[in-house]
Amino acid sequence: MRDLLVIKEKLKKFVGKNEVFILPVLKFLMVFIAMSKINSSLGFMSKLSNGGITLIVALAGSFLPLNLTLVILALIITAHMYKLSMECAILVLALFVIMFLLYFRFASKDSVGALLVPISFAFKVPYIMPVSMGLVGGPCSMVSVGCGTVIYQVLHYIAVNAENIKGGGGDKITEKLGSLKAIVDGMLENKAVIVYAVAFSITVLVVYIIRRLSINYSWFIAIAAGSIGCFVLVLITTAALHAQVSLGGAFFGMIISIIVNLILQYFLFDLDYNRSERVQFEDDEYYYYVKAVPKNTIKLGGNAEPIRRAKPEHVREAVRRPAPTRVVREESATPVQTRARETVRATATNAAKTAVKRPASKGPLGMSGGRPAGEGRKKD
Amino acid sequence: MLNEERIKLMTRMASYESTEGKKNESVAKHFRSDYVGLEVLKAVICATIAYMIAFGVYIYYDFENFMLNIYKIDLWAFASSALKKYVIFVVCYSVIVYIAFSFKYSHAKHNLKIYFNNLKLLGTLYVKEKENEEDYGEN
Repeated sequence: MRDLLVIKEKLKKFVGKNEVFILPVLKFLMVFIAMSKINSSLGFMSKLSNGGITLIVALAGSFLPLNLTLVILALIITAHMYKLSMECAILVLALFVIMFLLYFRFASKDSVGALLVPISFAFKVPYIMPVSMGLVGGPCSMVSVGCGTVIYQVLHYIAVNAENIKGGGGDKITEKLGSLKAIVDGMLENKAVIVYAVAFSITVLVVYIIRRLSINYSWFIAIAAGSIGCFVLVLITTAALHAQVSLGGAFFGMIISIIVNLILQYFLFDLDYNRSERVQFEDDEYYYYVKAVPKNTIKLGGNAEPIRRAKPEHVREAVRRPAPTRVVREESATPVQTRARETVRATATNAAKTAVKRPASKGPLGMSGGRPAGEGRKKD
Repeated sequence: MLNEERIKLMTRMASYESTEGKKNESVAKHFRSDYVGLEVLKAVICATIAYMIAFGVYIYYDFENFMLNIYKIDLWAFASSALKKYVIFVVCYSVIVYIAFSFKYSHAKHNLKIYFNNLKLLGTLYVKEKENEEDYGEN
């Protein structure tokens, strides 16, 4: 246990030190894996399947917002589909446009779910994702997990039946229409889409609700209940819909989900790496460059109060430099900083005026207004 | 002179400004009804486009059957059924968007209220600091 704590602490220090690089690298890896999987299973357009394009897209994805990356990947998939058959391209494009219009337009934070769920399906470990998204996301994540499941199942169906789809679509319009009907009918016959989408969406909600409960070990209970619940839901929906879903795979998926999510919870979710912040601001006398590192506290679980400070630490690096001239400061300040500073000055002036008018009144947030500005404490 | 309390407050405020502050500011520029109304309007447009796409794909999917039976089916009943489904879909989606953006607006307002309270507090701290400096000056 002590070794684990040491590893955790080292990991935390490493992330704290290199946080600027780690997020882009992770995003790069995620997009690179997604592009590789798309190319290996749907690489119908050879121009898009080469390593150069994969690298460029992955590099772009490392600094672009995730929603935009998702749009780029959707366009690449549609291009591959167009090469296979026009009907597939129409179908997939319609699916993507509907998803973007209805959901990702206003829930941009959850788009990572729609990207990671197909990747986890491609690596045959889909049962990890609903529990993970329930732990880190909100109730809305159930929609993104559902969307990711549908995207993967549709693309998987097309990839598996690529030869039939290519042979089925002839030149005549009736053959083309028949081809689209055959593709959609084939997809609708595949009840596994519904099984996975329903089971995963409900699992996200269950995990989210349990982990928010004010009980001890709520996260552990949420992982166990979510994984087992997901397995039970897959069993029930498979039996109800007579779907072809591997129940042995679901059972092993449940066990893998518990193990992997416990590891992730211990090393990733519990530490909250994102809370370290670097901010800059200024007042009339100084520029401040501050790095605020949160104190590491150990909680009992749930909403319990912190019981012990493992490592009391609050680093504040204030590099003090006398401000040069006012003109230079105005140029270097960002609009937000300038506006905030002006507001502060105005507020300070108003507060001073108020203090002159109402010396005994109470100030904002219950603070006493104090003496009139400029009237100091008189010497006895 | 450096004031630890003031620096802490300014750090918190700068951190808020650089993350949520910008978004919240653009949200709180509008009145609640304007902001939520605009988002619902956008949602209605998006839902209409999404429904038209889905309807188009459905017609394309069943085009052969549709063309064969075009003179047999009651087109008025077909159109009214499609319209009914459209209205139900748009209303349900708009209600969800209304709730989501009302919540977002309240959240943004609440955060901005805290931010402006902090600004006032900062102003008070400046005044106090100035007073203290003047006190020492007189002494």
